[in-house]
Amino acid sequence: MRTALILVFVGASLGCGSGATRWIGEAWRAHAEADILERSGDLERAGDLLQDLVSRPVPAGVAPQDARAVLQDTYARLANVALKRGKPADALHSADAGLQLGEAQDVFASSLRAFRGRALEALGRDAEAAREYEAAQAIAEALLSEALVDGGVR
Amino acid sequence: MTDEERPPTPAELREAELLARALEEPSQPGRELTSVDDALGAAYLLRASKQAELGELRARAVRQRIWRTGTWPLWARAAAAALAGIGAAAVILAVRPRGPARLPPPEVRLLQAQLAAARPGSSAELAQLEVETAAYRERFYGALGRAYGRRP
Repeated sequence: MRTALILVFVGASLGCGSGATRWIGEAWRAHAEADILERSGDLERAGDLLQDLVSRPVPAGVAPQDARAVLQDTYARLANVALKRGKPADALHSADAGLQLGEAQDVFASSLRAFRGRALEALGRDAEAAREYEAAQAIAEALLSEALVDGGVR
Repeated sequence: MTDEERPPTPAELREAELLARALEEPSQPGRELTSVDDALGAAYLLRASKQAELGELRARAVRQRIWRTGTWPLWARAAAAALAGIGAAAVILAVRPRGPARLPPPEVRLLQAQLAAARPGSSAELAQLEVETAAYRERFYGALGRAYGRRP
């Protein structure tokens, strides 16, 4: 009986509080709180909250593709927040950090490229911005074709 | 004449006398050691070893004290087995490697917003991209929540 209770306790502890589940829940809550802060105009705190999220280590139980998606979405949002705060250098830094995680033909890479282009444009680096826009459009167009043809997934 | 009717031999008389003396004065120091003493000693040793031996009843009592499985009723044993099964399943589910979540396909409106934002322009395109991204994020985290066991 003692062994059975220990097994149940260990299983419940692992299942309820596994690092992957907790990390994803925390990421979701960080975005929800950032929504509220952005609506109230507190862009700085929203940025800090999202920065804190990307600074945390990713638990081993999260599949690499999912970790990349969560982090790239957050970096893209950080870039957008920085642009809204009039800090294109910070926006460029966030977009670069997101793209360094790897690049796939998905909405996250497309957004990061678009925000990177906007940051470069704001910094007066128009030629580089044009290349980023082109890269972002290529991804978005490919995804749009897939979506219109068969509703492709990721 | 039978053996019982025959008068004791001097050797038998001597042994009987020594036996009587040994029984009457068992702890008298300095008395002569004889074969009777040896026999009595052997008898004591045998009796002592017999008393120390683990009899059937004592062995069963010791077994029951050490290993109490026999005392559990059937329902308790079934409950323990069920709990162990649930616990083992929970452990396996918790530590199993997770595959990547099946993320939802992006909406056409999100892709159009990305195309609009990926060109020089005003912040209006970025605002629209923000709205569409937030809607996609909702679905995206829903898929992650399903894949990782709990909806955030």
